Parts: sequence; C-alpha cells; structure tokens
Amino acid sequence: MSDFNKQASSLKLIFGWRVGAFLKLLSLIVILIATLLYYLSMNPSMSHRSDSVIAIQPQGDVANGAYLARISGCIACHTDTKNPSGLVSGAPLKSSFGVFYAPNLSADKEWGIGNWSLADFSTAVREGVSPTGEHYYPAFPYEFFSNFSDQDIRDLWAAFQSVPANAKRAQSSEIDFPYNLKFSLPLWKRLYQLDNSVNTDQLQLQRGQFLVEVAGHCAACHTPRNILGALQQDQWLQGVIANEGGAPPITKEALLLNGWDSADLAYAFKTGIKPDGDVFGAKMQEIIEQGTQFMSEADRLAMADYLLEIE
Amino acid sequence: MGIAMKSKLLAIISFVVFGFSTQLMAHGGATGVVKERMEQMSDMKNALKILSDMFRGKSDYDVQQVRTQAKIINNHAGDALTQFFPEGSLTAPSEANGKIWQQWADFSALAVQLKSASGSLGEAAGQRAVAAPEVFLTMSMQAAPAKAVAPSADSYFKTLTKTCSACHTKYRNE
Ligand code: HEC
Ligand code: HEC
Ligand code: HEC
Repeated sequence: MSDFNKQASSLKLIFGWRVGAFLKLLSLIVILIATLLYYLSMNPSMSHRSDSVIAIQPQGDVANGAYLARISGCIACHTDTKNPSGLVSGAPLKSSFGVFYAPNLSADKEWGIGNWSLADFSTAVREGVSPTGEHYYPAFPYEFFSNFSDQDIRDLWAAFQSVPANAKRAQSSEIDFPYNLKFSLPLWKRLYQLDNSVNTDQLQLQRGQFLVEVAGHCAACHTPRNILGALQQDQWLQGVIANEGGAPPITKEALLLNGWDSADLAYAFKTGIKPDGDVFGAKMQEIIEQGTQFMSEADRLAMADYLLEIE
Repeated sequence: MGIAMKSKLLAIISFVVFGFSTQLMAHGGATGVVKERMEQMSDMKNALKILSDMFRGKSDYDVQQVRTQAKIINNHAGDALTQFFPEGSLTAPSEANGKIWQQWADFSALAVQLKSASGSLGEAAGQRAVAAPEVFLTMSMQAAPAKAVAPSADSYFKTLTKTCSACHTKYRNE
C-alpha cells in the first residue's frame, strides 16, 4: 500500500499541466523579460536572503514536530521507501519541469542538514532560501509553509534533529531548460506571495485554516496555476480541470452542492470513504494515507469546519 | 436550408445531446463489459456505504448485515472482478487505465486481496475492536502505524477499503 512512488506523481499534479515545446519557449521569453524588469525594479535588500530572526527558546517539542512533519508531507516527500532509514531522499517527483528528488534531511553533516542552524532551517522552510542563499524550486511547497509560526519551526527542527545521520547523497534533480535557470526563481517567488490570512477569532476555524492552508497545502492541487506556475488566487480551491492533472473544487459552495457535511468530510479524511460508499483514488488517497489519517479527530473536524465555513 | 446544412445541424444536435446524456447518466452510454463492471462496482459501493455507516456508528451495528454486505463484495471479487476486464476494454465512458494489462499480475492480486479481505470481514463480523488503535508517530515513514492490533471486524474493514482505494489509485482515472 504505502508505495511512495505515488507521491512522485503528486507533483505532476502540482506542476501538472502539459507544457508543450511552444509553451516552454513562450514561458522562457516571459521569464526572461519579467526577470529583467524585476531586477531593474528591485530594491537591493530583496536579492539577498532575509535575515529572519528566530529565537532559539522556548525549546522545540519533538512530538508536535513529528506530528507536523507527518501531516505536512515532509516525511512522505523526503523518504525513500527502499531505504529503511528514511528521510534521505525522496522518490523521484516527476513534473513537466523535470525530475526532482527531495534532499537528505537527516542529521548527516555532509549530505544532510546536520550542519544547519535553526535559523538556516527556518529560512529554508519559510522562505525557500538555502544557507548559501540559493532559491529552492517550488516543488518544495514552502510557499504554503511561510505561515508556520516560530514555535512550529522550533518543533519541526527539534523533530528533524532526532533523525539519525545517514551519509547518503540524495540524487540530484534533473531539471529541464529553461526551468533550470535559477535566476528566475526570485521572480517566481514574488508571484507566489500568498495572502491567506482569514480574519476569524474562532479557535476552531483558525486551527482549520492552519491545517488546510499551511500544513496541509491543499491549494497545491485544488487551486489552478497560471502559465508561470503561480497560484491563481482569485480561483482559490476552485479545482483544476481534469486534463491538467485534475482535482475537484473544495470551496464551501462546491462541497455543499456535493452533499458533504462536516462529519462526512472528517470521516473521509480518516478513511478515504466518501458518503456514497465510493472511495477516493488518485492523489487524494495519498494525501489521506500519508497525512490526514494521522491527524487527531479534532484536527480533521477543524479542517472540515473551516472548508464548510469559509466563503 | 440545403441538405448538407441540415445534416450538419443534425450532426451538431445529436453530438450535443449525446455528449450531454453520457455525462448526465451515471454509467450512461456504457455497453458490454464496461457496463457490467460499472454495475458490479456500484453494487460494491452500495455495500460499502451500508458497512461504513455501521462502522462509523451512524447506524446500528448488525452482525448479520455485515455478513450480508461483505458477501456481496466477496461475490464480486477475485475472478468475478477480473473477468470483466478483457484486454484493451477501454471504450468510453470507461475510467479504466490501460496500465491494467501491462501490470495484470498486480491488478489481479488486488482483486484476490479484495476476495480475502471481504471473506475475513464476514468471518470476523462478530469481533469488534476494543478501542480505536492509537497511532504512534515517529519521524520515519516505515514505522508509521507501528502498533500491531489484534484482527477484528474493524481491522478487516480497513483492509477492505484500502484495497478498493489501492486499485483505484493505480488503475482508475478520476
Ligand atoms: C511535495 C514534496 C515536498 C514536501 C511536502 C516537502 N518537501 Fe522539502 N523539499 C522538496 C524538494 C523537491 C526539495 C528540493 C528543492 C530544490 O532542489 O530546489 C526540498 C527541499 C527541502 C529542504 C532543503 C534541503 C537542502 O539540503 O537544501 C528542506 C530543509 C526541506 N525540504 C524541509 C521540508 C520540511 C520541513 C517539510 C514539511 C514541513 C517539507 N520539506 C515538505 C519536496 C518536498
Ligand atoms: C496531491 C494533490 C492533492 C492535494 C495536496 C490535496 N488534494 Fe484533495 N483531491 C485531489 C484529487 C485528485 C481529488 C479527487 C479524488 C477522487 O475523486 O478520487 C481530491 C478530492 C478532494 C475532496 C473531495 C471533493 C468532492 O466533492 O468529491 C476533498 C473534500 C478534498 N480533496 C480535500 C482536500 C484537503 C482538505 C486537502 C489538504 C489537506 C487536499 N484535498 C489536498 C488532490 C489533492
Ligand atoms: C482490482 C481493482 C479494483 C478493486 C479492488 C476495486 N475497484 Fe472499483 N473500479 C476499478 C476500475 C478499474 C474502475 C473503472 C472501471 C471503468 O470505468 O471501466 C472502477 C470503478 C469503480 C466505481 C465507478 C463505477 C461507475 O459507475 O463508473 C465505483 C463506485 C467503484 N469502483 C467502487 C469500488 C469499491 C467500493 C471497491 C471495494 C469494495 C472497489 N471499487 C474495488 C477497479 C477496482
């Protein structure tokens, strides 16, 4: 059952539209022009990694970190099932940009993140920038993780530090031209800036929002992207059409139309069974199997309530 | 209106009407084996709904009813399932994936697994799990749902539904 190659194809969904040769050329031109404009208009401080400060105290909580790592897909993407020690390299994540391998996150000082500081980790996960100042590809869904709190990051860091060192070099990603031109990434990131703060003072909805929008990164599949790969924020959670690696809409409107209620959603996130007795297949089943089934019942309900409450 | 024009119009109308109706009806337009297997899958869906309502506590747990529904699935599993998948049977509106015939051994193993899981569920229908098994989270995916639990109707029901999803994830386009 737990064939993590499956996660590989998930990425196809994230980047799942077919980019023909023509579109590639077109996007290359767009990227080049836009990058030029971007650098011209740039404020100098933006070109460097931001020196985000994160206090080392209070100490991270390993148990909560492991919980977050599970429900956010860190473990699923960064694990190679064939290697029992795990977290050293993901299965190939195929996309129309090329093939990605999620890197070694064990405590190994050479191939893993054993030499990193908490601040390095924080900048990588929340800003998508490596300790040497390189920008990561959004195949690593940091665009959603930017809203992890300082405490979430300390918890995750504590959990990752508990992973024994494993001196295995992760396979290098094979990224196609023109996407291998990393200089266009800062631009990409600017397009990606998400504003998913919803004003609510209800704790249940705040928790649901965190689980759906941040940890669960549900929009990665359920929100369409434009030709540059940026999420179309005006079509948030409105679904992606089938031949582009489809996922149905999960807006309040669509879910109510399909007859979902909160209890049915929570049950489906636990078991993969829909209210009519059909079962989830496709990518959603992987999300359930590798993520939501491990959530607490309260968290599954919080997600369901959030999805059914937010306009 | 000339003949050519008329037949063009007719073609458009019938295209629209036909195109629509296949979308509207559940397994509308399906014929032959594709239709038969869709009906078979729907039977299993109905059985699974009755079962899941009981396991969720939405309806009362009834041992006899669990046996009856498990039997329906059991009758549709194994060879009874694979017989409706002759090589290359992909006529619209089928959602089947062509990989079925490249990986036939794996596909039929899932059909057999469905047979054994539904069989075990029927046999164990009277044994409910004492409490929901606790999941212990570690930082390794392999050791994930670590705790072994004594087999029960609940655990076989879980295996059963996982078999439906495992096959759909690989071989049904959704
Ligand atoms: C959908 C798959 C996916 C998920 C989910 C994911 N990652 Fe990754 N991660 C990647 C990929 C792919 C890269 C490499 C990106 C690149 O090369 O630009 C990466 C890179 C990283 C890096 C940089 C490692 C290095 O050596 O530079 C860190 C740290 C990291 N991920 C941590 C996390 C954490 C923490 C989570 C969960 C909160 C997570 N990842 C979730 C796919 C994923
Ligand atoms: C890797 C891509 C992917 C991610 C990430 C993802 N989904 Fe899905 N989701 C899908 C696909 C594909 C389907 C359709 C599955 C099917 O019909 O079998 C789906 C279906 C659903 C449905 C059923 C909608 C309906 O009316 O039938 C719900 C609800 C849902 N997802 C919620 C979520 C939530 C909540 C999250 C975040 C925790 C999430 N999804 C993350 C791909 C994804
Ligand atoms: C061995 C593989 C396999 C197993 C096991 C399996 N299915 Fe299916 N199922 C399929 C395939 C393939 C299709 C698509 C058939 C087609 O459209 O031609 C399908 C389609 C369906 C459909 C849609 C039928 C329609 O009208 O379009 C439902 C509902 C369904 N399955 C329910 C179930 C349930 C419930 C179970 C478990 C009790 C299950 N299936 C087990 C392979 C499987």
